[in-house]
Amino acid sequence: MQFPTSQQLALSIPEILENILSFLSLESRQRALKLVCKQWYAVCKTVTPVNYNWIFHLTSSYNDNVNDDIDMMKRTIVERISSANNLIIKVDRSTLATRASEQWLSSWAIMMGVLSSIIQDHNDRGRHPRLRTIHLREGILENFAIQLPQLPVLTTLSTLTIDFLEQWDITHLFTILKACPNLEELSVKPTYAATLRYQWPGLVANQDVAITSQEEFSIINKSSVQKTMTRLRKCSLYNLTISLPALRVILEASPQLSKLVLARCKHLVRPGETATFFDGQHANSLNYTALIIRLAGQHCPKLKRFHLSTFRGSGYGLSIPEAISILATFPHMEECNITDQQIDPVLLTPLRALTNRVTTLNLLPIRSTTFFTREIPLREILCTFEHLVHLRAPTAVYYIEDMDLNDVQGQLQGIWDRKRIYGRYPERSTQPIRRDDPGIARQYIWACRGLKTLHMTVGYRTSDSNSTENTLIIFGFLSRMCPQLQELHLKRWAVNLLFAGGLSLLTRLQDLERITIQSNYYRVSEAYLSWLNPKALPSTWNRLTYPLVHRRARKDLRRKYQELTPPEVANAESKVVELGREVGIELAKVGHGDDLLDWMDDHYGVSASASHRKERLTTLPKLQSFWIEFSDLREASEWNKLGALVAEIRPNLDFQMRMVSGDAFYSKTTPSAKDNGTIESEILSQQRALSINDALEHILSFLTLKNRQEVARLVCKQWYAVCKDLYTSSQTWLLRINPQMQHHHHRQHLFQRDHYYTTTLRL
Amino acid sequence: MTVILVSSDNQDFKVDKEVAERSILIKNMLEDVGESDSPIPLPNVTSAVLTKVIEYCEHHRNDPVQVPEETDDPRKRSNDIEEWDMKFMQVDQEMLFEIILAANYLDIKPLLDVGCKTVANIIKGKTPEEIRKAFNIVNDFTPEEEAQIKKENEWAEDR
Repeated sequence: MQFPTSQQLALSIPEILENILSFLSLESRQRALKLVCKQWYAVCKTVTPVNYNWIFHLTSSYNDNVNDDIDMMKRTIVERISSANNLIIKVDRSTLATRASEQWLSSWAIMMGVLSSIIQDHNDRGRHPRLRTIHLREGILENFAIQLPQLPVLTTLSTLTIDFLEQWDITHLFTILKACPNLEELSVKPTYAATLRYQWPGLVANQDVAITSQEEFSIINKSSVQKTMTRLRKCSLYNLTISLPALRVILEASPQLSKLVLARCKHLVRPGETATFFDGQHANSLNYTALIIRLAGQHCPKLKRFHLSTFRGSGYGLSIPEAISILATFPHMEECNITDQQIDPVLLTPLRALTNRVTTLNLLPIRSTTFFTREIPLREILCTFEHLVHLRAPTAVYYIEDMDLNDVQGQLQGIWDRKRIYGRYPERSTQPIRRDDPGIARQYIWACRGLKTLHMTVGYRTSDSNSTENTLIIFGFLSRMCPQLQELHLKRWAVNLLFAGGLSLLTRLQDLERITIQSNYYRVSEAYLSWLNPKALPSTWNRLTYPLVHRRARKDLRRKYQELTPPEVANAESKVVELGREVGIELAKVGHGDDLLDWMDDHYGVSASASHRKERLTTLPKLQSFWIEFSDLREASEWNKLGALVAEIRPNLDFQMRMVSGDAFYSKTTPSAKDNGTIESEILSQQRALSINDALEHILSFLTLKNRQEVARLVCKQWYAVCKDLYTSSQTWLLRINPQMQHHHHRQHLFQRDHYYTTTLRL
Repeated sequence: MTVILVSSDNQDFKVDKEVAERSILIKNMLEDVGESDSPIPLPNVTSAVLTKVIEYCEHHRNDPVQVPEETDDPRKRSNDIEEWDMKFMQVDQEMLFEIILAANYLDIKPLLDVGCKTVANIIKGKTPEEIRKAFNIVNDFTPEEEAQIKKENEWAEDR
């Protein structure tokens, strides 16, 4: 008899085999490993991960052998849910069209039935089920009335997230709270993609008010919520139809609440016999918003974040007086959200008095289609709110003229005028900043120097220009005013990526993690992002070549600014510069060509000492992502070059040139007939991906398996390889990246559309 | 203090007690026996394998002892092998499994894990047939059984 080899011996020991297989993904265990032989099959069944997300696909496509399949499905669910901590349920994309069909609803019913029996089983044996979070992805819960009551009682569930778009009401809310009594986090909100393709209806007529006061009364009184305390800490409710009595019951029972979002909710009021929706018209007779704030203040004094928006004719929002009232009511409130069409600077004064503790200010547009709003006094806010850490005002305009502290534009215009080159330099409509008056100068220096998040639009009072000097002003200014910035989201009408445009000045912001620049037009030819290279120097070769590479930029700058008074001379008397020095900011060169020339000397100059360079040249060490978003992707070849370059010098950077509307993540759940089109646009916008397998894998993982098999893998050999890899490891991928992806896609889409701010920003 | 380990082919290995105690088996034995100079026989480990195992334990002598039931890291990954370990594991498949067996026998969890991760990496991406071929495994499923198992997946795949 032949002795078994060490290998056969090792694999025949179940513990060793189990250990080996436990390092492989669930997906590969399901796909391949359990098919190897009976022993492996048995071991695969026993390997249960410590913590895993199970992504379940609800589908109605199983028409043949229905009973077989239901048994199979039940078995699968039992097998998986028993060990799953986190459950994500989503709909098979192909069945979205037939959603809410009989089969589909019955799939849901079966699943809930099995879930319930598992939990019952666990309880009988005195063990706690492991389930902690459930995320019902878009399309799963289309029929609250039928589906929600089927939820079993999930005592261990602490987080429930439902992607839901339609209007829903308190009947459903109380059903959820009853089924999940220990919920700490509840979020019912539409996805970004859903809000995009959804036309928000106005308020429905009064006869459509679904719940009569009698019904409401009985729902509230029947519910156990009233008697027990909930553990709710975070609660985000979008599109809910709610009334004060119902809200009172929930708030009363949730004293631990630290975050409350009531966004786009329809508030049912009953001023007399008939119920009606609060539509802002009642404002005079009945200050409904104030009532809500007072109610929350009574019951949930610990609220730190409170996002409330009420209907006001053209959209949902919250005015400054209301925001102030929130701040005054809640001593722990850290965040201030204002959604208004315009903000009267006069109103800032009372707000200012309360901002000592407010570190986050979100100024969101009331309408979803807003590109920019000029009516928000952004400069006044930034120059007075010392304690601000996060400012998100994606559509609020900050004017370049207000950044031009040294009146570079005025001087350049003078030169143009002298040379009689008319019409080439945009005329200024405003007076330059009076730099000799300290009072005025102070109004242009930001007070919030601890700013970490900045989202804003940069505009021009008259016609905007994409010129070098404009971008030099912008980046020179920003690189000084917020030294601790981590996240910059800049919206511009047009963006200049040329080296001379001074984007590289952002390297002064050493904490920067994310840069997004959104624009309608771009200037990219000769774009050069080599300054992103984190380890460019100090090799002799680089020192020799970089000045050459940037010689042209240097020449341009010298020529353009040669007749300008040198900053040292021009700013000798400037109060702006003086004030800046007092607070530790060097502003003398903002907007001057010298600013960039200095930067180049520091980075590439022969004169710069090696140690000095080394110190300066940790180029944006924390930078994770750099996105340039356009409404249109022409000249893809230029982008390809740029993408390839960045991929080479900074392979770990998530550098993307993307279409603003391109939305790979949601295309997965969005029914669309243009699958091939999606892939194509991704090829263009994700050029970097072509050279980096990880990125490509990430991208392709967004596609359905079917899609990958039918289309993507036929693209080229590399794609084929990546698709194949995904085929066996996609479960791992999802396991690994899903929690981050939530975050990631959140970030990814946070700024793409203003719409997002008013609808789905996680406040 | 040193201890003497004796391999299955009667070779003596003199190692520091601290190093030898990376093996829970040896640690427990030493605790049971108490202070003693008598050599410890390891009849399941050849000298070639024991050399490798000691090399591993020497290198990791200062690692903190792994706390069992550490469930903080929810996901087990096979791609987080340290560079030294990776090089250490660059041996032929026979030796790889010998090391795994020895680690299992000697109860050296980190070494066992590294070995298993290495094998997992070999398995990764292979079809059932390729796996069978790689490890000389006989397919004992009937075609019907195989079809049935494949069908099990249909409800729960990521598609």
